[in-house]
Amino acid sequence: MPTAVLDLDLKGLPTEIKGLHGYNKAFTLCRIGQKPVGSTVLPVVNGAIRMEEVYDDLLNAAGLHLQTTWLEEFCEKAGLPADNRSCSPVTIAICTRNRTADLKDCLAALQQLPNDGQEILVVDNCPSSNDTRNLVAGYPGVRYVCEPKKGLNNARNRALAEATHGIVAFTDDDARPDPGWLRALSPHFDHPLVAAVTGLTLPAELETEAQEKFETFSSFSRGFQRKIYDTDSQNPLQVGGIGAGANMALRKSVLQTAGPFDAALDAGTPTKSGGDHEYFFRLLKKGHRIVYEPEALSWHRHRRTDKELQATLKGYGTGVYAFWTKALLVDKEFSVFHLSYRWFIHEQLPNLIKAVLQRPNAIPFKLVLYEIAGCAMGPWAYLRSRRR
Amino acid sequence: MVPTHNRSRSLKRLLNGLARQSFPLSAFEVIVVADGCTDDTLQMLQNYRSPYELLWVEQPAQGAAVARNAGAAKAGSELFIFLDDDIDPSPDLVQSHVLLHSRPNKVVVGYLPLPHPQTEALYYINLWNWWEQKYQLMRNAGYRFGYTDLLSGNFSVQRSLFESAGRFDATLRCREDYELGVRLIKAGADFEVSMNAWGYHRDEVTKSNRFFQRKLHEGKADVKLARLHPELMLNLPLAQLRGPFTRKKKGLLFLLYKFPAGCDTVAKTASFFLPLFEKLRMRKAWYSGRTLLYRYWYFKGVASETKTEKVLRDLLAAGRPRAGDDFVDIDLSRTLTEQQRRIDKLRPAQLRFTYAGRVLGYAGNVNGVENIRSAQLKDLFSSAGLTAALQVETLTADTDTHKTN
Repeated sequence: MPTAVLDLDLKGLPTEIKGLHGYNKAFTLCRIGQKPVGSTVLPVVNGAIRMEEVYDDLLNAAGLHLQTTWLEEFCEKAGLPADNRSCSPVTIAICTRNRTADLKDCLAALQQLPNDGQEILVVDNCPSSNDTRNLVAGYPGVRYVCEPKKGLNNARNRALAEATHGIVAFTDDDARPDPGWLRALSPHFDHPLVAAVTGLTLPAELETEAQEKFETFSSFSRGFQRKIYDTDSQNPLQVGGIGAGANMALRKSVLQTAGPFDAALDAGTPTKSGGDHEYFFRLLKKGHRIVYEPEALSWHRHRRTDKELQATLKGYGTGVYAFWTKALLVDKEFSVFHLSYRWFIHEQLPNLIKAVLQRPNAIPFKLVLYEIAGCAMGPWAYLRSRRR
Repeated sequence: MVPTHNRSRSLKRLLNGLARQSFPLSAFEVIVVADGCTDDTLQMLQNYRSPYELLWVEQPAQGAAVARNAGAAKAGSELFIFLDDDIDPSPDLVQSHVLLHSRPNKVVVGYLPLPHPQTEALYYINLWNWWEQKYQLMRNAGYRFGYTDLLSGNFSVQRSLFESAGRFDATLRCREDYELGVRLIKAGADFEVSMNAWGYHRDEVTKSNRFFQRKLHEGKADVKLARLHPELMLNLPLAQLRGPFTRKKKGLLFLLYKFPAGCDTVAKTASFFLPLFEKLRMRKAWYSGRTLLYRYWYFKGVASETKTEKVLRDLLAAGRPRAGDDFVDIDLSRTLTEQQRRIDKLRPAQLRFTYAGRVLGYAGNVNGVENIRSAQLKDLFSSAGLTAALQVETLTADTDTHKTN
């Protein structure tokens, strides 16, 4: 049965939510006054949820944020000024290919952002039609650029080259950023060490089983606590937990130190993914800081069918191993052997076994297999891609 | 004022940078103190043609503290800007320092970042990170300056405050800036960081041995610091040697005092592994190894300065934190604007937070940091862990109000 997706603000809860027929549960984002603080899954009874029954659940989901938000408000009322960090204008970049319907929703969401002088740039990567061009023509404030060289990383590099402002915020075309997205990302760049900021990505819908499986086993979400990743406390090869390119902002000037995105990696190449993670790896090695900011919220439409889900997971495996292959060959990162061993022995193999034994909450056997198959193909995919 | 020791090329670069200052060149003088220079520094100074007044003093090698004091003695003006010889100043450095000295008790710390890393060498990346994080912390409005923020490579102070605080301690070869920081804070100096008074710190340390040597000197200097200011003992890393004496501690002290040469050999041999770890990209091993060696050399410095274990134990026993000072009351049930003004006027060492007469808790009594300013209220309050208590009080107050209504 599908799961509903709800967005509730603890400061303005209705007494009841109705119209949820066809769902038996609801994935719920909790906010306190616009700020996302936690998520939980609430039971739906007869197509409705009564707030008084789930209030405790929501408060638990908010956790310590309740106290910190309360203190912020108390201080503001008492006359203590809030921290004010300067914000520079941002270029929002959407790299897209043949997904005009999704792009339309994305652009509609971006129109809801408050005007802080941002520019919106659509990079149409190797399109097979003029649909995207025509769509963007209908948005006078949005710039259109066509990048003929196939590959998501080529599109990202083009976006960085074309961006007018010093900070570029990337969103995928199948994601809908929250109105507070930009204002949560940009203040972090006030700190000179920060090269990138990643945000929280939640599912826009959980209508199909494939989408539910993706959210359960391969979610984009990295939690509701801000995290700081520095070179001395984070293994630069283990960047999966930092975030994803579907919701990230970069300081343009890091191109000088870290170089451009690797055109041999990510979607549009045999390696399928990993281009964003390989870049995070390079940023950390150069001594930069990456911040995970959960208030930079975006809603992502996961793939709807099982086939697409399998391809996605296989692609993730390929991407990670491709990135590690590059790290080994180019940067002499010998520890990739140890990391791949650990991943297989401590995660992938146990997951396979749990699936075979049909343990509850086990990742479906097929999905683990696809991921491992993807991993196996990773190194060759990288070499093939590099030769191209 | 620039103390210098055998760095004629860096010094020349600094002098050139000072010739490009936006501040009128006739309005400042540069005093270089050549501290036991055996290279071509003096020839360079003699041949240097400066658009500003350039004076120099020569002295046998006695360390930067003595050199800076000598420069101050020769100085003709009332405002001193101390710079190290390896800094590459921005054109607005002098002007930015001068602009902030609106009151006689100000100490201005200028931003002194390392140049952006062109290398992936771990030691450099770490160093760059460390300095950037330090300065960024100082930029926060609620930051409470401490003695470790007196960074002698780029700071300015007025003569009256410098002299009344007692100038640099001439017996220190290391940490002399921290030690001056302690006295400046005790004298009620008002610290401020200026990101505009910036220069690049073109530190030429490339060999890791120099880092270990620095740790050794820091250990020795901290012993002197602890003797001069016993209330700071607990802030210093050497306080880790206090009791209870675990077997590890006892073992370490035994080795440090009884087999100093042997331990040094082991440490020097161990340090050869670090470049190997880095080459093999074994980061965790590199960090752990480096931390271990830093700690060894630091404690080695402590041991060599105290000479015997008994002296060390006596020193540690003498460390007492300063007793709680008078506090100022902050009533959180009333608006804070007036109370903030009071704090800025009185600059207390400690605050007592209350809510409608009921005490929530105390905050702020820390050794080695400046007295409290109103901008620090919020941070002090949350770091003292008083939020829950405050919530209870406001809830009770609300309930009472509802009851009476």
